Amino acid sequence: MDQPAPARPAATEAAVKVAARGLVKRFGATVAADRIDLDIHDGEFLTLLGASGCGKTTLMRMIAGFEHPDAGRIAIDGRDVTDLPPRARHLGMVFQQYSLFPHMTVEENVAFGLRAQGASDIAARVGAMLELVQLPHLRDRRPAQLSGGQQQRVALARALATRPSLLMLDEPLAALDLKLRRQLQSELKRIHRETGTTFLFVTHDQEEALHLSDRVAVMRGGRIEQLGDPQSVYLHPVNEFVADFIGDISFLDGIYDAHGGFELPGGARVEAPLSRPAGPVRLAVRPEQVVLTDEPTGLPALVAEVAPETGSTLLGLHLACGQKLQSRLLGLPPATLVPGQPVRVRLERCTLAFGAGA
Amino acid sequence: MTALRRASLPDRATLWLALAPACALVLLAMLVPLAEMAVISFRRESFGQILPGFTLANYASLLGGLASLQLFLHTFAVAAAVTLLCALLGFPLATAIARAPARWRGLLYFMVAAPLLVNTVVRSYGWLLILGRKGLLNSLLQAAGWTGEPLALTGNLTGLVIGGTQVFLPFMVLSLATSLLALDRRLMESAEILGAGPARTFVSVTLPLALPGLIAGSVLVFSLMLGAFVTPLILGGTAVKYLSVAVYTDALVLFNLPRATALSLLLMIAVLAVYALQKRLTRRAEAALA
Repeated sequence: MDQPAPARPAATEAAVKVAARGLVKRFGATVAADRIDLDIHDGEFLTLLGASGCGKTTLMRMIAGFEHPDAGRIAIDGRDVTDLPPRARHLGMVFQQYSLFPHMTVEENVAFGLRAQGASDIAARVGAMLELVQLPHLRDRRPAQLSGGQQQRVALARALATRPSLLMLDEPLAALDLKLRRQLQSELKRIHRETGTTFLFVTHDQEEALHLSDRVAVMRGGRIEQLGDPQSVYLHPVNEFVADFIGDISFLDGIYDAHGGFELPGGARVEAPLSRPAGPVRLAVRPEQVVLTDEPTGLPALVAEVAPETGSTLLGLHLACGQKLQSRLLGLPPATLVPGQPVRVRLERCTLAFGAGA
Repeated sequence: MTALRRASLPDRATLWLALAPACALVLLAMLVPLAEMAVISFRRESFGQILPGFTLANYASLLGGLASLQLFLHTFAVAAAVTLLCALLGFPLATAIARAPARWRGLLYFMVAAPLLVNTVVRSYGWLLILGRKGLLNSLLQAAGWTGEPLALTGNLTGLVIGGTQVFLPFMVLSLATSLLALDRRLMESAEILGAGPARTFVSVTLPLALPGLIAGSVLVFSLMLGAFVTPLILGGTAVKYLSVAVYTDALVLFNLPRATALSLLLMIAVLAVYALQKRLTRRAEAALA
């Protein structure tokens, strides 16, 4: 438990907790990690976000030590751990399936790591951890007697008990229903705040990633496509893939005139202050940038779909040029809005565009 | 057959009808002879002739005599030793099978079970060729100069335990592998990342969770070894006191059927007791998980 204080680099920049350099991992013909560089800052909540098979889990398992990279190095707290087994890395991990020891009580589960690492203040530490996850009354239960949410909180307590350098969470909420997931999300945020531990979170759920993280790494094909805080990843995606992956978005192909004007096929014009040269371009439009309007200058469209969501409504629109657009309205849709109805829309502050697609 | 095809018959009745031949077989080929054995075990005999009238003398002499007590203890000790060896050898083997890629697992299972395809008599004689005075092992040891005189590896306990272990190891491995396969690998990973070394992970996670398989395998091996006859006869020889061999001697050499049947029934009761014990142990092991 009482490890020597990690040797930290001169504190001019944010201290780096985990430094991964040039990580490569292949499974047969599949490249799960393609020269990945990643710095995880001390105390941050960093999320690896991507669809299944993007390499996010492999990256985490390499940091954990369950997979050995084919190439590249990993340092934790300035110490090269690439060739160390997981047990020597002083990390914590929470799995999607909870993976509590079924033959041990809650208390024994939480104490396991402390015993394995020869800690002295086991009882006090277990008590503190159960307080942290608000389950002190369940200490004598076995995992099978707990709900999914409770099991996951015990798993959290078990992983945090040894005060790990880094807590890794592998889709920990994916097995829970929506309401419980929301509840545990805010609990995760609280525990992150209270313990100050560095969190490495893996998920395929972009909403969860944006909600929880200090920084998000969007992954595809064994590479990190973009790394940044949730807002910048949402507002300034570096490419079409990231733009499409994070949040709802529509793409409109057209011609940019280099003077703030975007022309759709068929001649309709939209104002879009883009910082790029004239030519064919693919305009990226978030649903909240598409507003219904009565002005005659509005872009004509047909309502294709009215999909009520919680607190808002997502409209599917067809433009005259054949392209599709989504619009988000607050609240329930007006009763007059039905599929097939012609409407006019205004596009607000469209500053995001990519090269015209193939 | 016509009855099975008639849809109007309730499923339950159809099932019983289909089971009837098997039930009849068990009744005629097992329960009836068993009942007759039980009757004989309470009879007297004289020069191979079974006399009328009942007596408890057979059981009294078996349960009261020092020699038969020794016989029981010896048999149980051998069976226990074989079980222990099977567990020690079987655990790594079963672990390897459980960890192997799924496409290799079928082949590994087959390799473990393959010896079961060979008759026990043949296998036990095979061990004679390896362990005998002029067998492979002794030739090698003498050629290497490690022993002058050939070691006595058959016709005694050593041969019996080695042979029994080889004969019954597959049962232990298959039973353990089933248990280990059901184990979530992430539990071991959890233990590892929490700082537990291989030894602690094995003792505090793998072993307790594989306990149902270990118990089932042990009971299987133990009870099969208790009743084993061919291997003790061939590899243990007449020097080794073994229950099944004693039953054979009583029945077919001494023609003392009452004694042989009484001994058989006592052995059967012992095996049933072991099964009952397994039920209790397994229930407790499973209760610990629920």
